Amino acid sequence: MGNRRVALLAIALLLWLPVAARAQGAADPKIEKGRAVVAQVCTTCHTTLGRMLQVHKQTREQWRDLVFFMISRGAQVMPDEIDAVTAFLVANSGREQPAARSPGQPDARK
Amino acid sequence: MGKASRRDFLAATAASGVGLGMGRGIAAAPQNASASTPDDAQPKAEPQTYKGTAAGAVLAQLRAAGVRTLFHTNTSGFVPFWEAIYAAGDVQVINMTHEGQAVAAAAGYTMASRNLGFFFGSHVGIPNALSNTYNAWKDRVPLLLAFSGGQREEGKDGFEWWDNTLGPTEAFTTWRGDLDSEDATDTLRLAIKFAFGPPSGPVTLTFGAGGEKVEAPIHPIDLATMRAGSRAPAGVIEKLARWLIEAENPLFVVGSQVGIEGAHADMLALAEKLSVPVAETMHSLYANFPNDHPLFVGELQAQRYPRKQDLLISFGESFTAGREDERGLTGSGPRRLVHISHESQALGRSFAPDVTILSDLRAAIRDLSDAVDAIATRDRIARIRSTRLTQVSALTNSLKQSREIALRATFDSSPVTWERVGFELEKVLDKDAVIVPELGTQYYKIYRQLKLGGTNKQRIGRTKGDALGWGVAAAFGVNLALPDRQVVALQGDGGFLFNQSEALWSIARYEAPMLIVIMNNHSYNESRARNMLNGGTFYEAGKDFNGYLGDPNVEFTKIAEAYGLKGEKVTRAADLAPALQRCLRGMRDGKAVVLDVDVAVDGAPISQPTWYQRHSIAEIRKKRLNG
Repeated sequence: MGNRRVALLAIALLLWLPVAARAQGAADPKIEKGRAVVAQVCTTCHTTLGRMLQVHKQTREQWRDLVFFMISRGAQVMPDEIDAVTAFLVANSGREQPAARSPGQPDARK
Repeated sequence: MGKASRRDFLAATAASGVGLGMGRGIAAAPQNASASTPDDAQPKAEPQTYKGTAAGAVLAQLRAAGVRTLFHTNTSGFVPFWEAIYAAGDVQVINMTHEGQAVAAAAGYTMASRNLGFFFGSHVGIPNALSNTYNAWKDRVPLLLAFSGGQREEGKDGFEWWDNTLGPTEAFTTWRGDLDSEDATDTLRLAIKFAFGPPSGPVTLTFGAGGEKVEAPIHPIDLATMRAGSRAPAGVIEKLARWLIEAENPLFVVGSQVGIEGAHADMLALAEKLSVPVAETMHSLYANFPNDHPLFVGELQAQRYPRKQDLLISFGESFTAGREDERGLTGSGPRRLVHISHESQALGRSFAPDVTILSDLRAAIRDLSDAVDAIATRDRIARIRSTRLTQVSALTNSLKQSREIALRATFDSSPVTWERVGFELEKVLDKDAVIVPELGTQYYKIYRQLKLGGTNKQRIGRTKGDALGWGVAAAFGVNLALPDRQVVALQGDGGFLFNQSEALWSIARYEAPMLIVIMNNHSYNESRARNMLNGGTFYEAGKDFNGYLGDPNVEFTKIAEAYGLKGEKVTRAADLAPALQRCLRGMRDGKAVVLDVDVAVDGAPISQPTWYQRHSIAEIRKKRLNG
């Protein structure tokens, strides 16, 4: 199945990402836990997750909101995994300043 | 012919040596189905003879089938039919101002009532009717769509004419025919049979029956038994029951055919018998399983448990969503796949199951339940049920906690979150309200805050066709069918702008006290998010050519007011609950309310979120207009 191969590629890229992070001295059990959850949960739908992480770098707060958003949309992330997933995403696709806001969202967080 | 009990049936056919069918084409011949049988489907009484106009005969046959609501869009050419409607005195005509909206309303009415939707209008309106005819075809809604115009000389490109009048509808219909004077009622009965299938769906007809005097047979028709029934061989069911009992990690997927047959209670009972987790697909048409039940695990493609399924049984879900369904089907790795459907054409059509079973869903579910009882002792069933319920409940409880954390994290945000809208709706709506959504993939953020399925709120839609411009009219049709229920159309701003304001005219005229919630993110956010997902030069430049709708910023409450309806606008989370209370008061007074809620967009932020490709005719014109 083509999609299965794509998903496997996405997981393989995720397995590589922490290696890159470790090379920068960022090894962290929480991040490793997050990597495992992301590989199991997110790549089911987001087969191009590696590319998405390259493109959409976000702040910790933005990534945390996105994790909440995906949970609401049906992603099966458990309560004790939320911080770990956020940490993994920040470690691999973080930024200091917020990315531009989306249309119609002048004040997304009150 | 008396019906055999399911247990007798199982024993008898098992003894006959009917084996398990493997692979494609294991379709059982129609047998003693519990839902309907060929015997049931035949009219019990002798036909009566109608004497009058041909158009009157058509109406008499419709009335004999219990059809009392007809949907119509402006045209001439139906004078004898109007005469018959006037004479009958018990038929309600619902006027809609656009053929496409009329078809959507007829579809909503039919899905909610399980009656037969009947539309009549001009053949020139066929192109207008097509997109929602397509949606009704995808949703398997039994509709008769009759168009005036009759047949003219082919090949002459005549006024208001094209050759093969019903040809454009061919891809979206189960049958097409001509209601002409000679055998109009025979044709109509055939059309009804084709509309109920399976597969059920729209039938298009040219309406040539006019004022000619005819004598026509009128048969009583019980629409509840029109769909042809089928039942699986007992040997197949028995083998499947053994697989189910022996499976360590089975998963049920419930599809729209469970809803079409109204087999929700049977589905729930079977799942509970062995505590089998139940998933749905992304494009489920109805809430086929209570989403607050501990066995409900959400969407198939998101499944994390059981990670390694060893048996997946699809109850009436055909997995036609493409990549999303394929991911769900392949995500767990190899395991036995079983597809049960009452549509022979749907079996294994979009994926390759190990076993295909042609059967009415209710019959299959009951037969499977009986077979489990016959094979396993009560103690064994109880042990399986108890052990697995503990595991699945732990998962669903954790997921519920996560959703609660996510809800509370942005609870007071403005623009309002989708979760908050769902949360507030759940607080104020009746337990048996009906939700008719037409939303993008953000829908789940609302669904999971609402209690849907089972004895909870009912959900009809989003249409599996996904052709925008369906939801408001469909919700109106639902309200016609269920006048004692709260009906709520959940509509995106982008979707509403697909020709849907026309439906407000009928909603106002027929005093449908609905709530129409516009989830207004000022964008085609679904498309924007997908277009931007993987980056690219136009993403990096922040140039979204497709998505931004905020200029002009449509004032939906004003549109409502133009039709004499009430409008409410909410931009802050704190204002949502009081606004909903005002909406409910308005609905109690018999008026529909349009509630325009500023909701957050999501997905990838872009650097120029309100950019669009500007073009001004006023600026480029070279000649000033007079006046």
